[in-house]
Amino acid sequence: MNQPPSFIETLALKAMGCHIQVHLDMTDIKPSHSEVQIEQQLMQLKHDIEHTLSHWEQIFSRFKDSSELMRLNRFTQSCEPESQWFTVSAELFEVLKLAVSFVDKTQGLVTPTLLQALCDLGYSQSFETLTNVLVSDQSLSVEHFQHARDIEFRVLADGSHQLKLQRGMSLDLNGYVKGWAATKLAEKISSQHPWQMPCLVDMGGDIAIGVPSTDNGSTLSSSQLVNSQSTNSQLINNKSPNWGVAIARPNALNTEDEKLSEYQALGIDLAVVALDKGGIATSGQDYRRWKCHDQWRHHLINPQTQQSAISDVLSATVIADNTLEAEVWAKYCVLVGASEAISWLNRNNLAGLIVDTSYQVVTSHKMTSTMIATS
Amino acid sequence: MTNTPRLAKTVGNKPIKRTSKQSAKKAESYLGVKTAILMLSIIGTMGGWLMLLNQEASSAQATDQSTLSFEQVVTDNNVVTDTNLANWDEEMAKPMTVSMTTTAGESLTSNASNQNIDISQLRQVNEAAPVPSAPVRVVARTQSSR
Repeated sequence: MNQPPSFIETLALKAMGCHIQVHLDMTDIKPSHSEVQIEQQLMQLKHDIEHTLSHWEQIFSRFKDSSELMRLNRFTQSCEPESQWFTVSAELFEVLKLAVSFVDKTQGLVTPTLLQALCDLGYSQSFETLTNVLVSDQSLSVEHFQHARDIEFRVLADGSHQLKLQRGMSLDLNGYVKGWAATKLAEKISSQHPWQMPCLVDMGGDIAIGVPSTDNGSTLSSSQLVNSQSTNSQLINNKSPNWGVAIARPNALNTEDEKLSEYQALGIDLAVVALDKGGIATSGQDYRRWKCHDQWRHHLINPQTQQSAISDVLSATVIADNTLEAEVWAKYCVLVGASEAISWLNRNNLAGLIVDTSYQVVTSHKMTSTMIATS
Repeated sequence: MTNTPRLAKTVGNKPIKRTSKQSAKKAESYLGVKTAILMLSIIGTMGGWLMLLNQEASSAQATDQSTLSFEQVVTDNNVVTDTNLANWDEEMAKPMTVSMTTTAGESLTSNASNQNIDISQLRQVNEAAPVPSAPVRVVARTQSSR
């Protein structure tokens, strides 16, 4: 088993509506660089990450009218003819294509076309600015149910990326972007940065592990070897460390529940896993929930009912090859219910942990062998 | 030096036959001695090999990485092959058995020849033993998106 990192530097940021932490394994860097050099590189890296996150926020945010996504949503409300091709950025094209690829794999339950349903339920602004009691009460329309499969993609000869959306389609990519962004940042730090540091990127609980390119089997170019200022043997023998990730205990839904004290006695973490690659994400109805006319709503919408999903899953945590995938599977587990979620995880040999609304904790077979500690 | 005339005359007649018989008798005795020496050397060589095998079996010690040593219980290059069929022992005519042992002295051929191999057991042997988990430093916490 690989060792945990000996020296970790952490960058803390806030962007895209969440708290972000980037943990860098400096074990191989510290011996060969001065403190001044390291500090300068870290400052530059933090600046680069902030710039990148700001750029992505300008593309994907559904809370900024000027974002590319919201401009696209406005165009599709009134486009003539009923559908037409729109040129979009490569990033929006990539994330939407990935999102659509999961629609069939999740029986249509996890789909990027639920923006209107979310707004109708009251989640029309950033969660931090929502109040518990909302005044608006917009009626739902069945016409809002849109098939993501109707979305078309093409890349022109000049490299332009284009989408074709049906009129009235409204897209929300919040359930995909954090996982995608975490993975992209991790790749940027571990493979494109001259120091190629193993890293862990935590985007508000959606976590990606960055593995340097030597560990993926590919060789470094000569310029990369020169720039890294490390010996050949260090690079070739560099192993991705094991990062300890705790799975947090989800918030209780009902503070007056008699089982609450017993549940809280489990501690703040349910389990610990060691990851050296891939991603882990958690989805649940325990945090992003609000009251609308004395009725609790949460952000996980059932496309068939256009309402907050009624589920016995309080939260689901899944480990996958990348964080976007982990995020989708975690959401899927909430939407299908605890029993089907565990069966599905076992059939697909995925590591998953489910907390149901009775505060029972259930794990898939693979998760049982992956966990290194439990509460 | 040439034979004396008398002796020369003797060779061409009966005295020559007597010499031949004497030569033949001498040759036979030589052959007998030779055969005896040959048999003794064969027996000695086989006995030496047997002693060597016994010594290896009793003094072999278990090592961390067992290696296979291939030993054939056959005549070695020092033995002059006796092509005289009359002198061949029936036991020697049988195919030589080949024994395979590990340096620890564990016999593998007896298992191979006498028992059916259970492939699932072989697979279990070949699976890596579970590695005890090393301490892990928790640096992050996954939870519903914050």
